[in-house]
Amino acid sequence: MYYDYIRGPIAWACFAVFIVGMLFQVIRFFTLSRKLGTPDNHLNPNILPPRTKPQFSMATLKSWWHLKGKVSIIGSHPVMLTVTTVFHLTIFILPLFLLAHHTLFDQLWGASFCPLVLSQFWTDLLCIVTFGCLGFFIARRLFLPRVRAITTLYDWAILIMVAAPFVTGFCAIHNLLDYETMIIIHLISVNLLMLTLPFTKFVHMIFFFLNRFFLRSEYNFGAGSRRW
Amino acid sequence: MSEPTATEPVNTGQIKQLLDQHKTKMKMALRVCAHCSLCAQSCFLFNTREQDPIYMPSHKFINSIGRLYKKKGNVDRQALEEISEIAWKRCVLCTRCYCPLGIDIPEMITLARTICRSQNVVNDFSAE
Ligand code: SF4
Ligand code: SF4
Repeated sequence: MYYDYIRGPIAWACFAVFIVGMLFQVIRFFTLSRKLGTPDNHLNPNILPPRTKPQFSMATLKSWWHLKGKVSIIGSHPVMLTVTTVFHLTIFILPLFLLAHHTLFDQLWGASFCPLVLSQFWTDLLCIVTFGCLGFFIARRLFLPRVRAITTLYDWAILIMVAAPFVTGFCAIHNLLDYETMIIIHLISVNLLMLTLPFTKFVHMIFFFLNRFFLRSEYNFGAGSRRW
Repeated sequence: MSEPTATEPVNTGQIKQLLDQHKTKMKMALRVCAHCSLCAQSCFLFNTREQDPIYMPSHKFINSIGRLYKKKGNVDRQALEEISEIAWKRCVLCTRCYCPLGIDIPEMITLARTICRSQNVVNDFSAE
């Protein structure tokens, strides 16, 4: 009975909070940042050379590597960059294309709108990759002095919150531990995640794109027409 | 350059006012920071100080403006002096650090300096 509640009205309410919260953050970004050319503070991105369309050739790639690549995150943290990219991709792909979720959508709406559904093999593989990435993050927090120096309980809570839906989902699919309990924890953790995404450190999921695409900065993607 | 002001009481109201002026942006930077440490090597001071974490850009803004924000401006002179140590001696505001999440770290450190300066806590370069 309360199972239906958690996956029904409560899930919808959390989803609504997620959408409204994210919209609020987007609006906040645009009200806080200014269009280029407005009065300056300490940093003037207007003095950056105008962006030209990148030309791709071996020579430009080589010069980019020597001028920027080597000192950017690609050059200084290639492993972390790979792990974090893979992790962020899998935590999106898994819930969106999981067979079990599509069966649920089928039950709820009589149809599932996604043409792509993961096979059991791919689901398991991506789950294991996700766990591997989480293990990597945990190891960094525990053993790398520079990460340990800024790690707080909050960071551990964030890691647990993001891991919970995947661990419980995996256990439920494979009938490890008690199925009912796993599904209930799974649903609660997903709802909690949706509820907190716009208002906690998870908000970087939207600010990453806003900051990197809309702001004019040497290291950002695209031209960027705004600044703080 | 102001004289040492060890006995002057801190005007916390003024600090609060300054914090309030930049509250949203500061809150956002502190919240968005994933504590990932990817900004570390973009700071030349971190690289040249044996990669001591206290020179990492995020460590600097978390422990300067972050500390002021957390305490809602209720800090004493001793705390301000510690913050000024970070804001001046561990950062030269060269603006070369980068954060993959787009946090404007130098701006946060600038704010910490502004607040210290408002209370006459500034780095005395002549004492070096
Ligand atoms: S400032 Fe950016 S790069 Fe540095 S720890 Fe925070 S999120 Fe990571
Ligand atoms: S602005 Fe400060 S923290 Fe950033 S690179 Fe320069 S010295 Fe380092």
